[in-house]
Amino acid sequence: MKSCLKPLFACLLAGLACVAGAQPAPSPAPAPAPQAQGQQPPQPPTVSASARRLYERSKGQLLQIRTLLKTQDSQASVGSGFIVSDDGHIVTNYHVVSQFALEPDIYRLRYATTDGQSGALELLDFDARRDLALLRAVDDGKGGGLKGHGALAFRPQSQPLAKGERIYSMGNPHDVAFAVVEGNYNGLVDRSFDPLIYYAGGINPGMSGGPVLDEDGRVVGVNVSTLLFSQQVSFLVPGEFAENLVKRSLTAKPIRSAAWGRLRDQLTRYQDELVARFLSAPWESANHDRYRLPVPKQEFMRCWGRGTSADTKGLDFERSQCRMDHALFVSGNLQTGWLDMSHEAYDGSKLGALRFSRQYSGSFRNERLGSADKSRTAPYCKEQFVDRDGLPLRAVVCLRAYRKLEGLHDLSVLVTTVDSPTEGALGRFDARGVSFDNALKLAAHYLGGFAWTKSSKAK
Amino acid sequence: MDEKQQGEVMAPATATAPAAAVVELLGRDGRAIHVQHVTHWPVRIGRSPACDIVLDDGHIAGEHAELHLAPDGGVVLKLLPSRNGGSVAGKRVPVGAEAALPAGGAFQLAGSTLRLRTSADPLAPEQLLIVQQARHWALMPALLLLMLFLQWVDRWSAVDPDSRWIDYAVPLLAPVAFILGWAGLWSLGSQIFQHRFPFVTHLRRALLVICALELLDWLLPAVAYSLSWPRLMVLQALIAPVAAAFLVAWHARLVWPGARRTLSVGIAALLLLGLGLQIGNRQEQQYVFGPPYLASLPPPALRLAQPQPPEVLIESLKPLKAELQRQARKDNEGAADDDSE
Repeated sequence: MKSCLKPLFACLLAGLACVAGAQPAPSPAPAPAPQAQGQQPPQPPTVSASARRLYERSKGQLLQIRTLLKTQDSQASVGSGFIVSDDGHIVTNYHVVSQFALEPDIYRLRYATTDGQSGALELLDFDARRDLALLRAVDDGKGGGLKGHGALAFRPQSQPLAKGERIYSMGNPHDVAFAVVEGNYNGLVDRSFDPLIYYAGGINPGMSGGPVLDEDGRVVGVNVSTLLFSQQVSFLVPGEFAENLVKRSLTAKPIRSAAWGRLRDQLTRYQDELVARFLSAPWESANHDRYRLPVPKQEFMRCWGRGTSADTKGLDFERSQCRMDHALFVSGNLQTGWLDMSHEAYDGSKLGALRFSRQYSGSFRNERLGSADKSRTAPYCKEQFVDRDGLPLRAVVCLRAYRKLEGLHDLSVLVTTVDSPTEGALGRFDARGVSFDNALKLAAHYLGGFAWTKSSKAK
Repeated sequence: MDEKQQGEVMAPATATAPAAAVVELLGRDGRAIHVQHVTHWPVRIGRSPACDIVLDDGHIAGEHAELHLAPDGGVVLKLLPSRNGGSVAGKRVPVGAEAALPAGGAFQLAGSTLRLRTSADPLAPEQLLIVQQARHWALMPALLLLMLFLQWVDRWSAVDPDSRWIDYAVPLLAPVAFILGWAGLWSLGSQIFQHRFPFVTHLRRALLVICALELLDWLLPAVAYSLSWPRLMVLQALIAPVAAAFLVAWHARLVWPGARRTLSVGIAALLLLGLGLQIGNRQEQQYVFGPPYLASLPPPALRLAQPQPPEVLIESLKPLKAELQRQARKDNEGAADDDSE
């Protein structure tokens, strides 16, 4: 409650959308900060003092990364970034520069410093899996190029943060103004395939790619995303991945043509690892009397369930859905690299065979497989009655191929049990961005998850 | 007096007058709505009661035109002074001029279409009356009941057991109202063009097609499922437009029996156009017609096909790899590769 009034006041002053309204201790806009110092001595500013100190120290390395159309000066998107070398190397998110990476003929990249300077940027490398990119300011020979602006250092991995430690996120939210946001380190996100820091603080669009610093001004992570419809649940890419990218590609040649090939190679390597890890664990069985229904054991998937109320007079069902919450960003209209599966177990004993058949079919028909679009083909399917240890199934396997990421596919498997006139289960498995061979392996693995339960087999 | 003198003048030149002749006033549909016998030649036509052929049309002068027997045996139209004049075979005839009537004897005075028929003209043969075959009285109620039953089964199977009777009212009554309205509109068409109102025939045709469609709607998925022939659903996708086109052609045959061939060709062309558009629209899809997969799950007792081991399904997917690759490259022209490779 105590923090309610201040952000409100800040919003009124700004006259803009309240993009940082949820911060517990809002820092005023960067420009008037030094004056405020002298005007408000009675306030006990122990906390914000370190934010101010950190901002003052690192504002020279803090940048806004702007994607502009080649032919005009209006911005297509904005993000943030930070300088990591004396030569003007910059780290940001891949998704901040993806438009340039995939369509360099249409877009160009520029930076803007906190003191209003700006200049051109070139893209050296990116890591789509970690959503990171390495840029360099172009030395135009007129003293530009950000040489000698200093560099932010990474916090060594040998000094891990403890839960609750205060860390400071920087960036330029919504192109409003450069900002520093206080928050807490809360360890890594549970059930995530790749490590991701859970940051309790407000990150907003435009801050993506900005640095997150510890009390000593060292980079602990990079702003990347936030959970929608939640308060202060934000995510950071751990600093070590950014550090690795910098080390690896410091001397790389700039990317000047569309980087689909590089992106495809990275996604192909990623899906190989993902599928291998997924296939290495056996299925768990859902708690169903009649059927063994596959539920993943993997710790990188999160499951939710729901069912009909007990007094329904129609079809009883229980639904379970397990999915990876994190997807890889490819472009503004394509995300990939995740698995999603669900099943619905139906009991139609109150309906009778004909009614059950009708409603069961309706549910099966409702499954959406997608249609041809710019990035993927239409689904191509095969279907059959499948025998799983005596349990008859109707199975449909569909694949869509990526147009520009050759060799990658979306897989959808639909399975229904067809043994009982008034009982059934409908399962669906989806994998995004997997190779053809991996898709077949996943489909076979999923079908293998269906069978009679021991008790029903005994009958 | 004038008339007699003229008649006398013309008389010597007259070839033999036909034994009998009539002047008919034609309606918009080409049927005669008013017939008057010609009692003597020449024939004077106009609005005045003094004329031989009296027309009740405000656009016709009191004495508008005359028909004369030509010396060569034909008939000539002579226009008398009037404001609206007349024409023969589409050509305007000036006042005072004469024009020979064409075969069939049609001519136009102001807005009225007239025809002279004489006993010398060949007479068209008598047409056989189309008498609709008498059907059993129970056929129509049986068809209506069948349709209602199919609608009821469709609704009953879609709702939960605790649904109230009112839930059935709209799904049952709406199709009945629709089909009655449909048959009524076609009957109106028949009324306009054929001067009869064959409501029962139109209704029977619509009911037959709709009942057949609904039965196939149940039957085809069941057979496709039973034998595991998912592509049988292509038939279902094609049957609906074909049946609709057939039904329209069937109705239209009652309304315009003379234009049977034109109608069939026209409707078939429309049907092909529609199907062609669908083919063009679904080039990207795996199948041009029918759903991507068979979604019907009838009771397991209907299943005749033997379930296969999962490996068979996985094996059957392998040819899709090349097919998908080909499909993926279609719109991929011009995508530059990364320079780092």
